[in-house]
Amino acid sequence: MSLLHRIEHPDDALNWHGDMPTEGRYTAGIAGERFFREIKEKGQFLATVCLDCDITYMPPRLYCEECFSHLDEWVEVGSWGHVHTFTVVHRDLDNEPLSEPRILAFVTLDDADGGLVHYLDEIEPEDVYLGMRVEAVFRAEDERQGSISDIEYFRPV
Amino acid sequence: MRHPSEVDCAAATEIMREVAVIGVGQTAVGEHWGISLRHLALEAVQAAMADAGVVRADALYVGNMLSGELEGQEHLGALVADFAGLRGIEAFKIEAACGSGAAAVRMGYVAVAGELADIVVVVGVEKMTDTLGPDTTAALAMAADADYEAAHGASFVTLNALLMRRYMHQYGYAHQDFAPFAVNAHQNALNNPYAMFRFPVSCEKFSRARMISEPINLLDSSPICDGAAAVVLAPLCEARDPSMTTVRVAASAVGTDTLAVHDRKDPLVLAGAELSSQRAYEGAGVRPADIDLFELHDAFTIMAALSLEAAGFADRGRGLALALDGEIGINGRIPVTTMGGLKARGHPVGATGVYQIVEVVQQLRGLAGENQVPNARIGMAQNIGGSGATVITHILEQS
Ligand SMILES: [Zn+2]
Repeated sequence: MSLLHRIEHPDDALNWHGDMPTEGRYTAGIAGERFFREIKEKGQFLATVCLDCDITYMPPRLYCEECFSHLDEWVEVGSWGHVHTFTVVHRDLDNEPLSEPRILAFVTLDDADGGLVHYLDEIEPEDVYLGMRVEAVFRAEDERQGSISDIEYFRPV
Repeated sequence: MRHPSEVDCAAATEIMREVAVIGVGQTAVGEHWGISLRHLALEAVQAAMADAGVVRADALYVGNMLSGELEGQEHLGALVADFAGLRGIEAFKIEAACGSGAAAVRMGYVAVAGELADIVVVVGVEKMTDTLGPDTTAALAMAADADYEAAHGASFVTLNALLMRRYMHQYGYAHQDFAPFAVNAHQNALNNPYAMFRFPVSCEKFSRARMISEPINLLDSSPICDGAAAVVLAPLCEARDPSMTTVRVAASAVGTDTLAVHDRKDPLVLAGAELSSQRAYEGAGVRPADIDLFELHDAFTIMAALSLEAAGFADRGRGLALALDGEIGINGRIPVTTMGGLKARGHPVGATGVYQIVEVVQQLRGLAGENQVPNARIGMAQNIGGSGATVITHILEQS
């Protein structure tokens, strides 16, 4: 229906078939966005630091949970650490056996007070042990989406 | 402006009313494919109101976690009030993940204690089996940190498995050492007509169960299921039914912790549960040794061990030893999951916290049948949301 088309019946003006394109954008908050953008663009971790309390927040936070001061000290932290604990997942969400078990680990980072729960790969489940040194493997630059999944997994150093 | 700590709290406590649980009701826990969410809630509400001998209420609080995601239905307050014949009263839903049920009880307590309502009905209801397993598990994972934990596939099974492995490593336990929690829960469920799993489990069966996420196997875990439970709260001064033991809410307390497990200084310490328990003990003026039974949140066996420690019944690393020493049975030092717990009664998430209160009331009234804890006078219920991020504790006492 063009603008010059003459409307002869009210229904003509009320019917429109087609798709309306819309876009939405999800953000993980100010600190979270900066953390994920750094991973996406540079393949490295950022943390915030409270110098007074000597705490390095990774994933970063905007406020110190001890002294409540605003944190604007951002530092790069190494993407390596050690396995604090791990699990070998045998079943998928539908309780069906996985073709290959997957390892999930809680990795505490060397340069920060905190860690991440993520996959562990390039190792057999029976060879994993608590305290094992690991590093993050990032996805190829053009595959990164700006989320926690831009880390493909951790692997033994 | 006065700082909150300068406010005279003593004056504030004086105006708080004592609160009693005057009625309880529950539906069987299971897979209720033939019953809708509103009908489940209605059954529990009617049973509790009949038990209390009331036909009206001032407010209705509905504990529920997943109705929007799994049933496409939110706005449960008005819905349940409408279908339970309570149309017109104050009503809304309260959500705190798996702690939603006790959170709703907490709000009911606040309303009655603060003289905002005289009779409050609290119902916890959850329907989890109308959807396929992956959808239900993914919905449950919404209680974890969406950006950092759940986005790449960590679920509550895997998060608890991480804690369990660390616990075994740090304190030197084997997987089979966790068996007493499952064995005890299933044993107690045998005598609970409302329980989902009414069959015994042996240590051997526990050890041989299907592995899900090492070291957690099927018998470490509570089931996905449907159910509803309800309580009626009223001022203690108006709750003297001569035919029944009166049960007073001695304390109602909440504690919180980081949402994500990776943000905790020591993941094996449930700091939120410690806070919640301490606040409850202070509120009731009791110590752990005074508690005659403890309905704890055994979503996984590791949670049972960590809860016992956080609530002060065992030192760190000794919660499991308490179970191994045979102290968690009906005649033990601290009986837990006396009607089957989350493991065997079942864990319809948003309803669980209310089931726990119902069961403590049964014990304190001396109506727990075969599972009656001898001389039970003070009982505690603790409901946990997420991996310990929200913890609601209630202490109930014979009055
Ligand atoms: Zn600080």
